[in-house]
Amino acid sequence: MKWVYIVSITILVILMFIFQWPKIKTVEKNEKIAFITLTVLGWAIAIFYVIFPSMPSPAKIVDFTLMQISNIFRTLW
Amino acid sequence: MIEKGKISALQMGLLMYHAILATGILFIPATVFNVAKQDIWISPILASPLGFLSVYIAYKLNKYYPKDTIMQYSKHILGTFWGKMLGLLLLLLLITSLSVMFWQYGEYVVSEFLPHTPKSVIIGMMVILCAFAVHGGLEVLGRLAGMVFPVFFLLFLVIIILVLPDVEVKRMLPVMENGLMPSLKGAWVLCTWFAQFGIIYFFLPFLTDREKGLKFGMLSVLVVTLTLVVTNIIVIWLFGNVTENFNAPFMSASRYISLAEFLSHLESIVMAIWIAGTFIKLCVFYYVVVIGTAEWLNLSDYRSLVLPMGFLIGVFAMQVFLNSAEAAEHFRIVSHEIMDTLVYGLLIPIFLLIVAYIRKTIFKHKVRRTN
Repeated sequence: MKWVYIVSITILVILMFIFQWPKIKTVEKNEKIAFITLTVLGWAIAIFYVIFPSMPSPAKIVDFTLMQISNIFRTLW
Repeated sequence: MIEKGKISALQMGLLMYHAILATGILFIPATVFNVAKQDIWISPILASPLGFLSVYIAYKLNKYYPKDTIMQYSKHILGTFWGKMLGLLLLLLLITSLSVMFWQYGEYVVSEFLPHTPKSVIIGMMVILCAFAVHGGLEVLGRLAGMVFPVFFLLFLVIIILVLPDVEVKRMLPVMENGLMPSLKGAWVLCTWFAQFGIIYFFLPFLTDREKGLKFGMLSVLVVTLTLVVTNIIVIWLFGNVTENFNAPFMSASRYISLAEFLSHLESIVMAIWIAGTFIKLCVFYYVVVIGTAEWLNLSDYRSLVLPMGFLIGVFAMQVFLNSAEAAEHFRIVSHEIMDTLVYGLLIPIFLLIVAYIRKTIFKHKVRRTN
């Protein structure tokens, strides 16, 4: 089943690329780099979550970090 | 400047109103009821100073650097490296916060209205819709908010008037049974929402009438507080001690409306209006994330980032909680222990303001001495 998700995510990313790429002006190099980096990052994270579905999400990492910081403050109090 | 469009201060106030209240109006009464019991209507009044404070701090920072958003003046204040680091922290917090909001929207729609639709479809459709709105720019968002607000507010009033036959005022009594402490605890829960007013620092530079920015920001906080007070009073008059059994009491309240067997099942209208409000909320945060990223990377146009960012946020929103137990744990941490909105809405701007104040005054003294 996993490869179905992987293929559909890839198709979605390619569609996004086809839609957005011609709209970026040729002179704007930074935009192109940022666009490609973000797209590849999103694609990689999506594939990663498909293969390892139980990995923690950023929200939980933020929760964990904030809890650790507040615990440090609580012990200092 | 990266954003060419301009909005009026009134439109900014309306955007902020929806950005705070869209989820608040549903989830606040039940969440606050856990700690404040029948005094939930006092909590918004006690929590509102935090909203006023975050608007005022954003306004003060905007006074120092009138044409910059927080991403740019954090560089001026802290230097390039630490400014970039702070900006990255801010962006990560905003992205996680936005992914939680998208998840909340998807979860609520699935559980209440479309139980057989996969959540990925609901979240994906909303991401695409928001992406188009954000692609249109700030002016589009401002006009959308101006369009939705009258309908939102009118329907809110209509629902309140229609539930009035069922209310019983004595359910609110005794007022302050255990002193002020329970409502103070409830106010702490509400800080999650009021601290979100801090993201006004992304809109203040784009105002046409900048001198009115503070006024309409404050007015927005005031109207949000009043709406919350009225919502909480109506919910407690209607449900009393069973409020905690509902996930979204205001929505359940609209189910009770039945006038002469003719006007009933109004919850679908409430849902439509609620989705319009949530759409604005999600757009506001989406826009903030996109323009923040573009400014952080020193780009000249933010529109190319809208779709990749939306994809990333959609992926995070799908994955944010694996089950509702994790979600409940997250919302318990966020509302009772420490909150991410407080960090990006209040603590970071306060820190920046203190540093900016010190720098400005010391710099002034130096200039005076050399003269």
